[in-house]
Amino acid sequence: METTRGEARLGQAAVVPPGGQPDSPLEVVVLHTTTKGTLQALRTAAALAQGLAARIRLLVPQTVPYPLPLASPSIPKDFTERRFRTVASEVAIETYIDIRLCRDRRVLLESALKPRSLVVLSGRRSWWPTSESRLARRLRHLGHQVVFANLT
Amino acid sequence: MSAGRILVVDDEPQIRRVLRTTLTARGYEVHDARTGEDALESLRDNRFDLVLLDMNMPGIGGMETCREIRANSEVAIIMLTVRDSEHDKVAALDAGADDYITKPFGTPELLARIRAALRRLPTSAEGGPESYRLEELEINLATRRVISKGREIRLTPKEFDLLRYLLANPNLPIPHTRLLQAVWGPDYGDQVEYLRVFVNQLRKKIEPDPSHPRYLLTEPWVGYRLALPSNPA
Repeated sequence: METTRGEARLGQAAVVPPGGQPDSPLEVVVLHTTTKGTLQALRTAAALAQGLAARIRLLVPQTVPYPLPLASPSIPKDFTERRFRTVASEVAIETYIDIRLCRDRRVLLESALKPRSLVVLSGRRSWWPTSESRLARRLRHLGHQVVFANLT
Repeated sequence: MSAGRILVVDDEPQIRRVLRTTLTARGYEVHDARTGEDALESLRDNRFDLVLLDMNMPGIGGMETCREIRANSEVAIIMLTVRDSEHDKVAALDAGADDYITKPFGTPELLARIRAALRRLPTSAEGGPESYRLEELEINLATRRVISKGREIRLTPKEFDLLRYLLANPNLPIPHTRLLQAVWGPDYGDQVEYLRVFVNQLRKKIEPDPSHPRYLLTEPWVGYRLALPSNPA
């Protein structure tokens, strides 16, 4: 298990992109928010990835509370992996799942995303800022290109 | 290389097969649909240059399908029918068809009408020059090849369609909605974020400095503009 900057990476086989994909450097990162939102974001990302010949990475930040060691989340890693494999199987495009253990999701995102990443996340559009819209704004501020998929 | 994308809509499998064989042999990319409903669905997901539409079909007929297509798209439509009355021709043209051909028809006549309809399209590959040169960038629409500084650049079909549409309307600001509907289809008018992603990718591939684009320019609050020299090669 790899641990850097207070985060741990799970499921090495799931982390490595399938086949290395040398011809497809572009990556569409789907950021997990809620299960329903992630499904919507995956559908949007699939349409984008198809048109751009890109691959999809489903980034799942899993927060581990301080009483527990970082490498021992309260939800077993196998369970989380299985759950997201089922979610990712909803889209026809090959998706690899990147589960990251962390103390603070915002800190994790700064290191888990390459500069100027293409990120898809989903949430409800509303007059009042939602946690997803605030997250999207923060990612844009960090220089990433964010596609906000409207959750209906 | 494709001379154009054609959707053949006819309930008779023999007609569809013959048209597919004839048109594919002439370099067209052919898709077919059995009914008007199938055609409308196909048009929602794909971009076509021309629709060959049978007038008499089960379900929603050719005339109604033609009206539905025309309400959402500027694709060229040629109606096919066995009837030759003036009333039918007038009705088809009023429904939004660009041309009308009576069965049985000869292949040369059909091909000539297709060429004529494609010539009138603003985005047609047949309408403008086949190749463009922007300093070190060379774009050949016929072969779908883009070469920058002597190296071939790989564009995805969508990226190429976007570039082709912009090349067909050089130096004009094109609104987001029009670009989206022309390249992605009538259902994509408000997905501006999609367009931004594709434009950014295209800039990374064709611009010498993507952060300071010289060709693919943003028109704030409007859309995008392809800045071309006045006399492309």
